[in-house]
Amino acid sequence: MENGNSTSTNHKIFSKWDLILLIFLIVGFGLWIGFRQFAPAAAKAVVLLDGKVYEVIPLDKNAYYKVYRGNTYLMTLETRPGAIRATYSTNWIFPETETNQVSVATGWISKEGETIISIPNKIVVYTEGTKERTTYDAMTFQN
Amino acid sequence: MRKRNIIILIFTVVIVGSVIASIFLTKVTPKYYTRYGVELGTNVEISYATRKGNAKEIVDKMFNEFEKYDRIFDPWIAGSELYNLNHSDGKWVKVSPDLLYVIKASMNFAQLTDGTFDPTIGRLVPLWGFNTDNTKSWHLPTPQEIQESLKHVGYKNVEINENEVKLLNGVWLDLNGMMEGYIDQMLINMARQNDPESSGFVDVGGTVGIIGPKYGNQPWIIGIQNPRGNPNDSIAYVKLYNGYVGTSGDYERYIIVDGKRYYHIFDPKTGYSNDYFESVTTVSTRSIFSDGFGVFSMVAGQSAMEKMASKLGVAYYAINEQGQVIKNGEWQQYEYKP
Repeated sequence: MENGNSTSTNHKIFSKWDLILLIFLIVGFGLWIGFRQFAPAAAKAVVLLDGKVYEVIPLDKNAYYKVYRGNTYLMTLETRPGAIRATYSTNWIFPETETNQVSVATGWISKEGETIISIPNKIVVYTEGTKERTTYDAMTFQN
Repeated sequence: MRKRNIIILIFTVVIVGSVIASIFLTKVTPKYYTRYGVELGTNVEISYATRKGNAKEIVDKMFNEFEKYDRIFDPWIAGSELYNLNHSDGKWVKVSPDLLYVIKASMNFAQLTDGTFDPTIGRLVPLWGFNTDNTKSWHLPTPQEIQESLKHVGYKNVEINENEVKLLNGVWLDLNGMMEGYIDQMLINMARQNDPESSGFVDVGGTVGIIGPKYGNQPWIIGIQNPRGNPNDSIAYVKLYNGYVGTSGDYERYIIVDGKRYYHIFDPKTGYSNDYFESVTTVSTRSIFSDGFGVFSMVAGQSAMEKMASKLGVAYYAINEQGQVIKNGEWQQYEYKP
């Protein structure tokens, strides 16, 4: 019997399970390529201070983060799933003055391409991997 | 055996096809390297892709250039080239090619506009306190103080002889009206020198210049900030394959006194800002006009803006103080409606 089965298998090119495995591999490979090309990354916010990455914040929960230059407090950021905003910003150069709070007035940002910027503190916050992106690639504003 | 060969062939075609498709997709969709920053007292964004694979290296080099431009163009930092020129007490001063180019361009535009655009309003800026981020120093000067400062305003007080400049009558230059467009142009040149077919844009303080079309053949979509909205709120869009777009407005450096808004673009004849427009956005193939035309229009008003746009061949999108949109015929080719 054993010999007979063996002879029968030799006549088939692939067994049923070989074909299933082959299809599985092909589909898996295709999905891997598709995922590599198009899958969104997890939403996060990148905080730049003086042009360097200060912190990368996952946008997956309600939380508060503070930004410091050395020991000097600069800004408070609040997150909620998929979004971030500045709730308070000082003026690093002129701590005695209230800033005009453009960063705070910006409100929540949740789309790729949106930014929160504090010029006096040299802070830029932008999002990556969010569900939506802005209609525009860049913004022109008054100089 | 024949059946086996067929299946092996199908398997090979699928695998090889997938690999080729993967490579193709990666190739036709260039990977843009984007970097944000705060430079020259404003926000900067550069997005760049090149087949040479050194996008990050080139963008980092571009950002390194800002230190040089700060040392040249910041009129309020003691020791900068422009600061030294403004404090040269009427002597001839040899200037760098960068500074000379922007001074010459500003002077040419001042002559063309008969002084409505005037780079010698430098003394008015600190008088109002708009030279600093200290918002508590922003204030309405007295009429006497403004009259006194106006004695030191006038583009005819600038003399140029080859690579030397002389400022007479105590005038101070403020080159903000054209500096950002010029820097855009210089950075774009760097990108194109690295790879003539590279793609991306440079945004220095809201003046956006195009390195090359998006993905090689598509326009970049540039939002126009709503002058009464937040910084991510666009009121309209421009599509650009090349050239420059810049905006002048009344909404970042301003004070409101007794219900009247005063902002940082001054009429060189009165020393006060005018209330014709909330913002003027300009598209031009020349970087200096994408900046300078907006400043001119904020001072000159609608009628003069229309005439000058025809003369220069620029497209504009202006929002007047009543919130109405005014745009010329040239604008149509750039307008993007999502």
